[in-house]
Amino acid sequence: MDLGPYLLFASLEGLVHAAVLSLIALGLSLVFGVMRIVNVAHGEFFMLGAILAWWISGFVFGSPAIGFLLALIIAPLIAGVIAMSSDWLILKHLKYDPEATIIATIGILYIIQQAVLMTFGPDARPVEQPFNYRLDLYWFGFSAYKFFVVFSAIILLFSVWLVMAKTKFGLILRATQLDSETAQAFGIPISTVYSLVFGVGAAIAAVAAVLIVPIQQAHYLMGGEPLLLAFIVVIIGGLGSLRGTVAAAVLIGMSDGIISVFFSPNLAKIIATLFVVIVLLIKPNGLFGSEKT
Amino acid sequence: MLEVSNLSTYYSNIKILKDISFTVQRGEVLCLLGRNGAGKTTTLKSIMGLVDKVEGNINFNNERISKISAHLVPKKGIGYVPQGRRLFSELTVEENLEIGLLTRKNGEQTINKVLEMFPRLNERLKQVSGTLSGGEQQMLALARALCIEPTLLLLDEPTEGLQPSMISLIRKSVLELKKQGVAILLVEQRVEAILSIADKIIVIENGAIVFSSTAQKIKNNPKKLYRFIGV
Ligand SMILES: Nc1ncnc2c1ncn2[C@@H]1O[C@H](COP(=O)(O)OP(=O)(O)O)[C@@H](O)[C@H]1O
Ligand SMILES: [Mg+2]
Repeated sequence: MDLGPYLLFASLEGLVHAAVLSLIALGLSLVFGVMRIVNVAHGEFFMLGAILAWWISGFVFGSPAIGFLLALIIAPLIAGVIAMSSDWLILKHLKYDPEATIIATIGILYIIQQAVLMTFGPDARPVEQPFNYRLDLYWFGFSAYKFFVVFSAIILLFSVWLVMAKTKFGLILRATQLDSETAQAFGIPISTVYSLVFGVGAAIAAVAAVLIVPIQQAHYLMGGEPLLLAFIVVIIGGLGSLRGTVAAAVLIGMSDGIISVFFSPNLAKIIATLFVVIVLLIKPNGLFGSEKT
Repeated sequence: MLEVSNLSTYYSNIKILKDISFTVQRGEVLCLLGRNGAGKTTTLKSIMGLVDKVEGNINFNNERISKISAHLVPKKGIGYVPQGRRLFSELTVEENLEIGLLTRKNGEQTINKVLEMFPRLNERLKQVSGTLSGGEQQMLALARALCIEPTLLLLDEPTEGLQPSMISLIRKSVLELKKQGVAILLVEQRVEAILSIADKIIVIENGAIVFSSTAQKIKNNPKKLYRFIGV
């Protein structure tokens, strides 16, 4: 391939990365924005989504599309319910103290990881693509399923924005984010809101996992790297900013994809981490974060 | 209507309020005076359920509210104007009022009534509330609390940092609400701002009530009050 088509190919791969990454980071950013806690277990909800997708699709015979669709609905639900339970059982009792919740979510990380290891074993698990169609892009063929991943991510991001900006539930979330004490004084049950947000954050990560697992395989240790990248995205985009999160995910996902194709995945991570250091030095609140701390 | 009896409030095991008791009746204005740090805000927060731990009793319309979750308190008809306004500053005027309406089933009538009271807000519904002037922000904080259609209104230093014209507007609104039968618990630092509208006055110092009297008695003999607030 010539450089031009090769760059196009790398960009398309990067776009798929970016789409999945923006979903994962969106969940992390939502949780941090509303609850002011750093969820270290976020990557495990992503992993859980992927493993569940494999497990669910194993029950379905016939077209892989049916198993995939089922997984797309059920896996995020289960991940969400597990997240909500851990909120009720653990985080709530720590009163969402910023430091204590970091330690607690590290604990949740290991519990989920080891539970998955003991239940489903250490092997990498493939999930069949719901449809197998290659688009002919003149210089090379490109999986139509990957376009579907990008498209689905855009739809989901747009829906979340719509809910946040235009619905009463979104208004309640934004008010809780701005001043939880005053929100309570106007009748908002913030512990219910927190539980829901924690569940939705995990469910969004699980959706991202179900989307990517036909390309990537499910494995009980797969949560670490997306967590790191999601942190990078959220720091660059500005914690709690939806727009910033998406913009930073596109930036990091694309460069990660392109650098991985041309050089090596490790170099991509090194550059992304360097980028975080530079952003933190120049704009500590992130590129899109508000000025106040 | 509101009965606070032997209220003690703790912040992380430090006793901030000590054995506070008072009542507020329908259409009555009770003023809470005291220096910075005396415990005025903590008293209001205790009523709203926003503190770590309380002992004693807070009854509202003969129902104990000191043990219920904070988010259920406004549903009983208690409106709160916090110190420093505490608007949702990145939300618009309209959205702030919508938050005020959350506890109500049919807010349409309420919001019209409230906006009639504050026409300046009606002209600025789409403006981000953090960009309003200080006086407008206080109006919005009051309007947001009135969206609850409160029968008891808690006001924490509503005239703090406002121009005289705004202070008289706030005072007028308070008197109007009093006339409608709303019970009002008003926290102030300046006596002169409230002496004319108060029915009863309480002074707290270090979390305890050190003086309590009716406005009538104080008018006849103001020296006693002034001793406590150091005028
Ligand atoms: N969240 C809190 N945690 C611990 N102590 C507090 C808290 N809020 C207020 N206090 C303390 O309680 C006392 C009373 O404060 P406050 O009720 O705000 O006084 P006032 O409103 O009369 O100025 C002060 O000594 C203050 O330091
Ligand atoms: Mg105060």
